[in-house]
Amino acid sequence: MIHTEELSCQIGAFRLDRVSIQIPANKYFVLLGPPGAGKSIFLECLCGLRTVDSGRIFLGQEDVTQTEPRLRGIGYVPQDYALFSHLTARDNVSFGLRVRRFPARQMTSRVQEVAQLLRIEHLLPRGIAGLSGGERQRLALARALVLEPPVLLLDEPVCALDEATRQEICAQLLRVQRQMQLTVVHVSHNLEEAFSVADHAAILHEGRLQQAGAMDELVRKPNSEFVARFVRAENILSGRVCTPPTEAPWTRVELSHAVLDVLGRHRGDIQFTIRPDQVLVLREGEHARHLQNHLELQLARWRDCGAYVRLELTGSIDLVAHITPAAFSEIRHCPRLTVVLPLQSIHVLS
Amino acid sequence: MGYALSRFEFRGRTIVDAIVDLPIVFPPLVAGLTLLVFFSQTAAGRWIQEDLGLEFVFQPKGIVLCQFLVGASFAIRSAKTAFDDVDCRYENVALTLGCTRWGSFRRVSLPLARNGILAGGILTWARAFGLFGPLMIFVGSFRGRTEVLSTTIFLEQSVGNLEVALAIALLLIFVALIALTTIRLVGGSTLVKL
Repeated sequence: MIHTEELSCQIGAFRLDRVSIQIPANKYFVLLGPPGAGKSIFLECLCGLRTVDSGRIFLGQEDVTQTEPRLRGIGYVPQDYALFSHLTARDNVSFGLRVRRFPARQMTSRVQEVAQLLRIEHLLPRGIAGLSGGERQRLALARALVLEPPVLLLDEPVCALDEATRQEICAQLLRVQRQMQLTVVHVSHNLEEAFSVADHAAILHEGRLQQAGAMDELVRKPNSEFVARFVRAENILSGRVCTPPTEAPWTRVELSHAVLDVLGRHRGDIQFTIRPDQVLVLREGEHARHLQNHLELQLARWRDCGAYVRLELTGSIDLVAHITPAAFSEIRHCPRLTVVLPLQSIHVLS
Repeated sequence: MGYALSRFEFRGRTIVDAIVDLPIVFPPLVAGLTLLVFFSQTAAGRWIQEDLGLEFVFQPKGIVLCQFLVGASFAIRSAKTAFDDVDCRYENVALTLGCTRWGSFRRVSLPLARNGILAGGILTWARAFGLFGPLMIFVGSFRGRTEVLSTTIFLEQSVGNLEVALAIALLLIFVALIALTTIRLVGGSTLVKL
């Protein structure tokens, strides 16, 4: 397990501010955040390329805060791969082995093994200049993996690749992580990328950790408006609790033009969210009037996104809903729609 | 020094950077005059010449010193430019792959900057090759003793031996042409930045 305690690092006007994260061993961890959040700096602190101002870094039980990068046993692939253009692909892969003075025979077999794993045997005799983005990515990965590090840090590993190659590489990264039982920390600003690989994730913003946990938890239970917007919760609503505490397991909240119930007991002003795919959209009046949190709304706009249709609904409140194309074909000509916000799908932001 | 100026932030870096550039900016004669005054008029200069027995003024050794001091600026500047072109990330990756700081410099930065450094070296050599003014002041131009090609042109022309002066001038032009062509072949981008 990788564990940071109150990690701080000042670079010019930017500050990585007291970041404490626990990254589970042998899991695929994605560090998310908008550009400039401090993700790459955090990664460089982990592998010892930046001196931290305060805080500690643990790899397993060992405090490695002051340990040199070469002694940390961490594989690192930077954003632009940084392949050594004065060496062939084979020499790039074997670089770490040569530095550590591995015997020639062992070096050859290790290079061959990792090349087979990443399916790059055909690239080994070539120079770096003519390689495509995907090939460079795989080669950089092979160079980091050849030393069999228990931890692999990937800084935006697929951001410069086209969509098809990105998906292919992400699948390969996940396969390699599972096969070698690595602890991977993958930096990205792309939520789809995180969905495709992550077991766990964390979100950084302006040098501060916003939330960390299982990927599903981040998406379903964001703890702040920033995280909710980052994970595209889209429906972020604000209101004021309008009933005194009762025995009921929910609280009634008054919005500007609507009243909704949310689970739990709350006071004062609250913010809550519901994911677009959790919003139920029905034809007006369709057996839903008895349900809690039903609203009469109109369809303002819609967009076919392939696997789902994105609806923008307007009325007493504005909402976004994602429904299947089949469901959309049934409601698309209805002038008014009944929209239900299931109580258990509403998440109150802390 | 080129690597240090390219990679490290330290106190007085701007001043060191400016001092390195001085011989590029001031007239070459000033370099010769400075050396002459230093070795003949200052206690440190006299100590080097008299006590250590390293005689430079009007001596062949002075040619080497003069060419080194004038050429060093170009060499440091071109090395700095070559190292600026090598992204720090290459060194960072080398550090995570098991290199020490020295190892990452030797195995990664130096080979990647090689062409730029080579081009800078050729340019420095060419500059030293054609040096005239500082040498005339610091070591003079004594036949067979402190004579270099550029000062020979002056000597031959001053005694009316124009054919020899022209022949040497042509040789210098030819050498300069080869140097400039080689620079473009091995590290043109560095030359452009210079």
